[in-house]
Amino acid sequence: MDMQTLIMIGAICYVVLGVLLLYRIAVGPTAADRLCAADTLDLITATALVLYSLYCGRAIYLDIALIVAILGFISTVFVSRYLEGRV
Amino acid sequence: MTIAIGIFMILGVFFAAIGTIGILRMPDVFGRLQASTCIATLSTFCSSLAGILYVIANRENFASVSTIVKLVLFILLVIVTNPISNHALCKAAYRTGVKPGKGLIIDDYKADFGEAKDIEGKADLPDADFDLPYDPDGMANANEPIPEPAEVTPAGAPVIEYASSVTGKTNNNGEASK
Repeated sequence: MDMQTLIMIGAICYVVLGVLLLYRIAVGPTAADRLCAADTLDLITATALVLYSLYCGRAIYLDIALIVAILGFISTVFVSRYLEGRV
Repeated sequence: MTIAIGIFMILGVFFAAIGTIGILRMPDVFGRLQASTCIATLSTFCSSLAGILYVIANRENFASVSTIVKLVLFILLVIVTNPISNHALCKAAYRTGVKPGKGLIIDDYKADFGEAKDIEGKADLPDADFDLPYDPDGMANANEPIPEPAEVTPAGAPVIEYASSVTGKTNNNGEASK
């Protein structure tokens, strides 16, 4: 098994785990549960994008992964401030 | 090199699976946050390290230096920002009234800032008024100067700096117009 196949298998595993996390986003009892699962899904998406960019050999997906991670952080902080009551 | 990439890849996917199972199975928000930390640090770190090794292994295909720099930036970004977002989320979960399943033995946040329902009443005040200390015992915030007592309207809601600042603005405008 060469290295490229390993990277691709890892990316597919990350995608499957992200699909599993959608269950918690749909079911989670409180808003904080959903926000926690969404933040984690964001990180998993970014990591899968990193691995896919290495598989393709295109650097543009790496930039997209960085932007996704930054946007996930910002959205988590702002939504939790909204949940606290101060926007 | 293939073996090293495989080991780091397996470690990354393993920690991601552990974190996902924790998020799906933990009983309350705080346990789920603790499980999600596993994904954010260990899984991302191991997978990106596998990526760095992959780039080093066939470095004649890419512009390898920029890719390695971006991967290191990704690791640093996630490691720096994840504690901040988790802290904000945990505080939001506490303030919206989520309590752990078995109850809290020591509740320092309540001792410092009061119950969540006492803070919810001031929801649309600016930040400076939102963080006014609430101490029923008078023992918390002992090192800070004592705040001036707030006037109480007949409805019972404490009038804090917000209303007076609004009236002050109108007064300033009136004086300026005069």
